Amino acid sequence: MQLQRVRVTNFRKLMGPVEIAELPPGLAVIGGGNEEGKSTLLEAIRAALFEKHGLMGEAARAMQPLGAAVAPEVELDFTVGGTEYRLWKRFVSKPRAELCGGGQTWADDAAEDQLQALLGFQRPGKGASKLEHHGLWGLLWVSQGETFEQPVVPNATARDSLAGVLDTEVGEVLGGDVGPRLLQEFATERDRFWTKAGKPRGELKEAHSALERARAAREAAEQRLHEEAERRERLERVEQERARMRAEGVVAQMEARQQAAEARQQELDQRRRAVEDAEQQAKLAATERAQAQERWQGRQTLRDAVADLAEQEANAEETVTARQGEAEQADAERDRLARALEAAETALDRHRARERHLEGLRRRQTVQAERDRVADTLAKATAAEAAAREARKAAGALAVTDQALQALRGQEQALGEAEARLQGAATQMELAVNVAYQVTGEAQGDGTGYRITGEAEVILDGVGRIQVQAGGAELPEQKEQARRARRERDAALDALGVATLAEAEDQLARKQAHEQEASNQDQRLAALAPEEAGGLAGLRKRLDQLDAELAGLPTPAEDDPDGEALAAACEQARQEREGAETARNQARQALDAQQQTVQAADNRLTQARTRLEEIQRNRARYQRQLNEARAEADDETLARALSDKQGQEEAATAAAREAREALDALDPEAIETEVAHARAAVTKAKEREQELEREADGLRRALRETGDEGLSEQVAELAREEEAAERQAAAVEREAAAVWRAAGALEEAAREARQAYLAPLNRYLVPYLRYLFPGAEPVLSDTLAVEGLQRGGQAEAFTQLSIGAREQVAVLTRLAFADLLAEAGGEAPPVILDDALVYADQERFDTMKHLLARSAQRHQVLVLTCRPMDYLSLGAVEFRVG
Amino acid sequence: MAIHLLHTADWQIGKGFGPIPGDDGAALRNQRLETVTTLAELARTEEVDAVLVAGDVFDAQSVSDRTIRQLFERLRAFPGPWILLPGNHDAAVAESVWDRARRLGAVPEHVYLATEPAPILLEEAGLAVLPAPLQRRHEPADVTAWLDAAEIPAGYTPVGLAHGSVTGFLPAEAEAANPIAPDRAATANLAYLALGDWHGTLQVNERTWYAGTPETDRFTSSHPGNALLVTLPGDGGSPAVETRATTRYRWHRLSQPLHEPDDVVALGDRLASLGEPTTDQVVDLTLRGALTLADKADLDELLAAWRGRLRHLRVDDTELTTRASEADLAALDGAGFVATAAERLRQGAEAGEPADATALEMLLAAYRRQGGG
Repeated sequence: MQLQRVRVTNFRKLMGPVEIAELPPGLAVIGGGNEEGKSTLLEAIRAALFEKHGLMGEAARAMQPLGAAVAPEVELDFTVGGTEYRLWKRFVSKPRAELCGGGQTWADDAAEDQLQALLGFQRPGKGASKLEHHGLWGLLWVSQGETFEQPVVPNATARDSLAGVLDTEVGEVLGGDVGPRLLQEFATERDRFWTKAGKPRGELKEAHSALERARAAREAAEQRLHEEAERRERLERVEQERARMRAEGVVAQMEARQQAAEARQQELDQRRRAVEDAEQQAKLAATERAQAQERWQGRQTLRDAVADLAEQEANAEETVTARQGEAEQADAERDRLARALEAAETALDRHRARERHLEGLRRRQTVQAERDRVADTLAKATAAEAAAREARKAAGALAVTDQALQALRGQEQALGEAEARLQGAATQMELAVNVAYQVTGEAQGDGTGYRITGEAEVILDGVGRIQVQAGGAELPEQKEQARRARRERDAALDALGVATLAEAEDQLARKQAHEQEASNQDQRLAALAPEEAGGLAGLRKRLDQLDAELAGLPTPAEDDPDGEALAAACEQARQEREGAETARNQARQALDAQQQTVQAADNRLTQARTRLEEIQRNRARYQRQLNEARAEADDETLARALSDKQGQEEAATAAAREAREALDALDPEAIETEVAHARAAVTKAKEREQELEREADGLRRALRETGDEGLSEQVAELAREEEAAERQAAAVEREAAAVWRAAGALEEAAREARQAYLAPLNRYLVPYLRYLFPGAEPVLSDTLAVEGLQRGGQAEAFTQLSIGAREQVAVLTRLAFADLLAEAGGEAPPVILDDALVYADQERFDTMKHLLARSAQRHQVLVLTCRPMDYLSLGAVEFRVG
Repeated sequence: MAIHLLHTADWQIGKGFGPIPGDDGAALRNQRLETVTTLAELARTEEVDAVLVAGDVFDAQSVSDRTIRQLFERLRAFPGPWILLPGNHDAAVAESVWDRARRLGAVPEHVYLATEPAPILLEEAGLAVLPAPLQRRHEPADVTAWLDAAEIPAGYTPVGLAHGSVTGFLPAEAEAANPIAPDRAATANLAYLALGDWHGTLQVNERTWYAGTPETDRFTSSHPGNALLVTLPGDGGSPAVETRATTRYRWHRLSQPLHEPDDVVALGDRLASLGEPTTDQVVDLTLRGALTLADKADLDELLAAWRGRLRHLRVDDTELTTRASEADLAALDGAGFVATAAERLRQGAEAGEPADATALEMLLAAYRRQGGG
């Protein structure tokens, strides 16, 4: 299919007539500036092709130019299947349609029907047609302002046409309408049984749950049945044991054994009491024997103590005598050492006095030298202070200051300037006379003539007199200024006490010299008597201190050494004094040590005397006690009583031993153990009987309670239910597995079919895409929409691409559709791009142009653009709107 | 004078039918009681002197009170005497089902509960029944040993009644416990030894028989479903034992290969030949082989019909696969990827994937339903 000519009249802004003729079969560029009507031209073509001439209402009126009640007309020449057609339509007013081609002519509705059959599009039920009605034509137009937010989805008619072509290429791989319905049906079926993740759900999950419930119920019932069986078995064992106990008379046996053991226990108790009695007697005898023994031992102890103390007393007396001798000896030695210490201290005093005297002489030498140095410094400092004071006084006597001198210089300069101005304004008078003359008044001669600043008189000798009056309005004022300047300058000179500026400058120089001298003397004073040392007062105070120290120091005698001999004498005196100190210290230590010896001897003597006295007291006390005891019972009586009690004790002990032996012969521990065991055995046997009875009763009760429940029948019933649940679950599992397999097989086959189905389109689209997106594969939907790109194993949704990329993909998709239609289907409607590729960068734009040109070799491509020059390089035929 | 006995055993009252669910199972379970009525009727018509039940009257100690009452109620149809022996399932343990029956007052006077190893003297018939009840579920020793020394009054014919495994006679798995000496009838000088425990009717020796269970309850080849009419001649000669079928339901285990349409027809013929009434037949059917979808549909129809006719039909078709015929697949011509999917499922089915076979069936059915083919 190819558009050849279009002529538009009274269509919106194209009042026209506007005609574009001889459109080529390949690429054509229709240029025009903004608002010139490119898009309107396309609207006119679209209206001619797809709107019925009888269209009414707002859509029809929108074709008319604004405010003009005229009939829009469009005339198109185009070819379909090699046949040329001419279509003419008039809208709104006296609407008409006419189609001519192949030697036939159709008018009005017949023309509309023929046109629809020819181009294969749909009409809306009523009103204006929309894009989805335009079939392949609509698919291949890229309108101005398209936003490319969604992938290009071919409309149903276009899809059918494309599918027709694709089916021709690959056969009916998609299985007609039934295939998708089956896919949907099995996917829905699969959802009944499985989640997306392949986990059971719905009926399948419920079947599993039901089976688990049935199993749990059966297991619970079995558990109860098992417990009942265990109770029954337990009851049987309990009853058997009870029967055995009854048959064997276990309790009676135990009781007989207990009685026998208790009889032996009674005999044991009797013997135990006999042992206790005998042991009591033995204990009594032992006590009495111990008392007699104690009395006898007391007497012996007292006798021994008296004898012992008499011996101690004699020894103590000897000790006292020896200690007395030692103390006297120590006292004599101490007295001797005290005298030696006294002599050593006298010698030390003498040496100390000599050393102090010589050291005083040495100190006097040092202090005297220091005093001389300080006195000299004080004299210099005092002189520097006086010099500084004098210099400051001289400087203060000079009145000129730096500031006053500056003022005076200014006044001098002002006077000069006032004088100059006056002289400048003065009248210049030059005289050339041959007589003597005299000039008076306000005239000043300057060698070449006179400058007259007021009234002046020239007296020419012999000739006469000339009265001159200087003119000029400013002259009096300048004269006044000069006078005022002079007065001020003279007043300043008077104030400074000088006659001239030079004198003032000289006076200031001298003043500054005095000030510098005062500063120099201050610095000298500061160096000699630093402020931090107290200045002059500090020096004077130091001098006083040194004088006072000198007054306190010894004065040298005639035979005293001096100079270096004094130093040697000092050192010798020091060594002699140290020797005397050492001797004195040794004497003191010896005396101290002896003093301790004396003290120790005295202590020992005192201790010996104290000890002797204590022994003497004790001996007297014990002797008195012994005498008193013997008066009560003599020694022999006590010895006899002890012997009697010892005999009684031995007899009682033997009797107790015999009784114990008789008791031990019965093995009391064994008898007691036996009694305890026998009693415990009886208790235990009775307890066991009761316990078994209780347990049997409990088991019987429990068995009677569960008896009527028919647990075994319940288990059988629940087992049946479980098996039914198992079968149900297996059946559902089989169905679910089959549905899973069927759905999976269908989806896999459909996926493969789709790939085969889309292969022809990819044959055109993939090379185009790879010019712009190297390595990219389109992701095509069943509706032939490019849903995204697959690049490097990564899928990118169409909506994720940049707007430029989306636009380029949209255009390339149309080119591919058109290529497919042209090559496989015989012909394609023109691809029309209205101000497209506005988002492409230069490189992409160039590539797109190249691809447009390449595609245009297979079918017509109309590019409407406001920048036709951009397409110049393609060598395309260019047309202009307007 | 001859003595006539009805020897039966292993009623297993209260036992369920594990493999058979729902109403079918309930009917079978109920039939155990109905068969007791049949036995009472047989005893009455044959005018026997006593009915000896050789153990396992009840299936478990813990049957419900109602079940106990129902059983003893059935025994009223024959005035007796009935001698009921505890077996391993209903051993005379403490607080046993027998204790419960007595406590419930359910035991009629003409029913003897042989829970002790002591002679039961039936004076009218001159019969001394020597029971060897199991007083534990499993007795390691031969409880019939006491029969050798049993003292019975003169003029009574001694008949033993026991429950267990005759040593060295039954298959090994049946001999786990409760042994019975094979020559007990001889050593104890018994006119007859009535045994229970083995569910098939089985003669051990001239005077010793297993009666078997009177109502078949499993698919087995051990000849169950009978009771024994025993006649003890007055002269002490050998007993005459007559087997009487008492079972209502007959259990059949069938296996059928299916490959061709004729095989399906043959299966129908086999089912039809199982006997009348068909509602008393219980069938366990194992199918194997491979059928086309059409033949499978025929099979499904056949089985559905027989499920209605039989008391119970259990089908194991895990070894049966379906295969799509050429015609089945030809219907998918032009179906695009649907045909591809069907072909893959067919290949999977042929490779033994059962889910694929079913999936293929589903797919073809759905395709037809959606208007394809």
